[in-house]
Amino acid sequence: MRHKRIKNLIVGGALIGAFFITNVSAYNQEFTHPALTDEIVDFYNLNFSQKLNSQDKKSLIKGSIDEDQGMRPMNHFYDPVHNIGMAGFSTSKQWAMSSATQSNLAVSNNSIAESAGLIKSADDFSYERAMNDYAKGDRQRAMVAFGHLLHLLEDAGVPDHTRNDPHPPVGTFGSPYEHEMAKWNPDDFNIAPELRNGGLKPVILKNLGEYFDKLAGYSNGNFFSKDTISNENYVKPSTQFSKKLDFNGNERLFLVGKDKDGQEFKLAFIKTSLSNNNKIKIDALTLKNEEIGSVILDGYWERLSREIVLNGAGALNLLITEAEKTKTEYAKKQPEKPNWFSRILGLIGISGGSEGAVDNSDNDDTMVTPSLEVTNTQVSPTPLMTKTPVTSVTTPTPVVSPSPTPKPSLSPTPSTTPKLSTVKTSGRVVINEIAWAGTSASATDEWIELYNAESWSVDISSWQLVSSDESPDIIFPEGIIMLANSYFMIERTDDATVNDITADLVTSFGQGGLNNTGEMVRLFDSAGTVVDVVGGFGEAWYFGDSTSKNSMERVDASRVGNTVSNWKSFSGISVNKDASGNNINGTPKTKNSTTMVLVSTSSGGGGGGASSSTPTPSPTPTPSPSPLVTPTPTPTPSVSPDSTSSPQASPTPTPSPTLEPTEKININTGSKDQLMTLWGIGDAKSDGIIEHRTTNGSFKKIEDIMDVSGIGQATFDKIKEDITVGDVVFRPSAVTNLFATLNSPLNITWSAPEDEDTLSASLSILHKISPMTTLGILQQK
Amino acid sequence: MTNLKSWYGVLFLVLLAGGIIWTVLNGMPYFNRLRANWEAQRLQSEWEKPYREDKYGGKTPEETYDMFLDALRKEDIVLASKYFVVSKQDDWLKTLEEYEKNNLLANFVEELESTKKTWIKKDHGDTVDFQYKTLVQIDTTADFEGKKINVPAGNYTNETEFEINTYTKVWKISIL
Repeated sequence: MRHKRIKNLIVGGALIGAFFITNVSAYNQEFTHPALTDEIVDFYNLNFSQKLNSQDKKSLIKGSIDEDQGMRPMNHFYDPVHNIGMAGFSTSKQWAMSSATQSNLAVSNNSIAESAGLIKSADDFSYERAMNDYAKGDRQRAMVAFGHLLHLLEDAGVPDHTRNDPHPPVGTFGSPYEHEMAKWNPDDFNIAPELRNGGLKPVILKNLGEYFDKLAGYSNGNFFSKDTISNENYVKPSTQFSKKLDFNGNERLFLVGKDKDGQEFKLAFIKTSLSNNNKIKIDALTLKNEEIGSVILDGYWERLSREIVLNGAGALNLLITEAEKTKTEYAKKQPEKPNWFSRILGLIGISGGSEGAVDNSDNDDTMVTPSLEVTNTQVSPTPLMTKTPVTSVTTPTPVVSPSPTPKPSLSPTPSTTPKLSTVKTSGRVVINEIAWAGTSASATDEWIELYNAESWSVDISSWQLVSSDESPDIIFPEGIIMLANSYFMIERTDDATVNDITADLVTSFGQGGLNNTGEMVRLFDSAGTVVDVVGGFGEAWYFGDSTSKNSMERVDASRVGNTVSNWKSFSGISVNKDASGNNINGTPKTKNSTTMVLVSTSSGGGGGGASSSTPTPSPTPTPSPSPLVTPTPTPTPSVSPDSTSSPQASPTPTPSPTLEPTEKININTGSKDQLMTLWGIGDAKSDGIIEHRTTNGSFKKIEDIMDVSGIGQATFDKIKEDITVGDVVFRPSAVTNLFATLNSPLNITWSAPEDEDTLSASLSILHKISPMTTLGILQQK
Repeated sequence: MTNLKSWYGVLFLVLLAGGIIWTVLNGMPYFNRLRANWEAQRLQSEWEKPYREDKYGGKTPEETYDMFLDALRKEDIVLASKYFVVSKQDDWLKTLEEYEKNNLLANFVEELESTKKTWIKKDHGDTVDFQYKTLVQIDTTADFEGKKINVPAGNYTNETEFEINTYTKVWKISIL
């Protein structure tokens, strides 16, 4: 077991190390990043009164270069649609925020003392650390860290980095965009004056996380990367519009997109040919070839670089403003005495500052450089998610609501004074039901239900629920605690939306509320970390109905929210009433209507799901495309024998925790408790099933359960009638995907550590490793 | 004298402890770098392996194209797929399997032979294009990965592209 773990570590290190030399950096580290950072600073200085001097600029550029050192680039990816980084590493957005993650960088130059957190890590250039440094007077190190953060924002403007498409330059791989754009450097890229003269202003957003979302959303949704042209993982950009263009005297066919100014630009080149029966075929979509040169990629750069500078200058202003606030806060605090260990380290010349990271000898600011005495004083910078005054939110407490029809019984169910010891500020709280179409009484009577899937209470104060068009954009007021396994009801405008249920929160859903054409809705915790995502940019709602006003219900709180297979339309019997006394076609504040799994015979179970995920080869000159078979998500229940007298065949949405006898247990999604109801499956084997599907991906057929240690033919024979694999969508794991992309000969898979404590202990002896690396990658030979 | 000897022992132990502490505090970056570099080289080598072992192709792009057509004529789609660049071999194998299943291989060969009759070679060193025209007489649509793309009438310029495998010096089809 131990050998396996060490092997994981080594192979994980190998991956990291390989990237160390193969370089997954997006824009060129020596030229393009400095060019962009230089322009960001110039545009900032053109627009804001608190100017940055040449030393500041040098430090910022230095930071933007250094961010590509070592294995840091592994954390430079952020796919905003699926909220993932690359190969299981943290997203660049998380990386930017987390001092702990940066401090515990695997294969870093940290000493053990740094890794153990006894002294500050020289590798930490996070937002949090930057604020601390600035507050304590180390302005230049803070500027270097800001440069690191700008680098991450610049990478969020690279489609390869936001469409999960890494291209280490091995063989014919490598990103043509990154390769081409290395031609820009600070001397020949000067757009700040041009932007200024064009009347453009820096983009002002509330917090750093929003800058990541905005830039990543822009590059992801409007541009292709080499291997994600018409990628089934992304709806945008559209491949709908093509145009014949004259190019060097030749007619060529291009896909075209429209930028924010409504101007068309070339999205991709369409290679065509004629089939044997003289029918036109599309052979490939490409971003570059020798004949058309970099015309497509130049168009990308023109738009992306501009957006990066506009957002980068705004972000820089935000960072400096926040840093000034933090400094003021720090000045009011009494410095704490250092602990005994820091004193000893100080005696042997190891201080807890930013040794070696920044040369402060020419620091021309007037701040006092912090002495060792204040080294361990932690200043808490303003959270990444800036709290804005919540003027539009009605707190569900006995406070008199401004609502025109306040109910006297506004007693919030979820906050019945839980024991403080069991309350956590994080946990699996999910968006559980969305009535995006409103109710029969009014289409604007929308409501959203959250569910706390944890076995402990979760304090959701300052959490944020926001949709892609920011309507709604709800920041939860202080003091809201969701009890374990409880529901939380948010009603738009007033508490009459669901008339017979008291809302836990009544609030405005902003201009227009939920858009009936679909939105992405995300839930952030108070640190600004995404907790749950439903839908995607530009995607329609998975389910629900604007005619019947059926709500969209989540199937399984333990599974991700941004997959269609985890949602269904309401299919139960209406119990609640809307403002006009009509039925509510949903299950507000109760368990969602029962999902019935239609099970085929024993031939492999849920093969139907494969139809939507059949990998389509990129060159598809197939003249006879087979029709796509879209799997029906099967919300339709079968009629139960005793329901003949009832016109409704739907099962009663009784919030019973027990499974219905006709319902099979989905071994790909079933909870531990559900799995343990199976014959012969106890605590260890249910864990084994969950670990197996986490490590190796979904079970493709029910027989695969025998791959789990301890489950043999005898057990299988007993349970085979009770289990299913459901509609399996065979998506490769991030790592498998990466290596498939790389066409690597390596046969790898995730290997979750069986015993995290032991592993962590063993790792900490060598080095503190990030949780991701602790997961490790197992090389199977 | 005995006392002096014991002091030497203490001094030795102190120095030894100091050395260990120093190594523990400062040695890890050194060992990490060594380990990272070693592992990096090993994995880089593994990544390059399929390119180094990729011997399928001719000494010229034209030769590769003919070898590819021969393989198709013999319905050896596994061999045919190997004439593509490494990163596209799997995709093309799937495509050719579809063709085979639908008895379209012979048609495909005819199409490719027809294209070859009119193309013009453009040499760019490590890559070579063969330019050809596609005449579309009326506005139409074509499928790409299940989506319809409009194709206005026109006489379109296109390229079939080849590139050299720099490790084995054989020419590979990159865009067909």
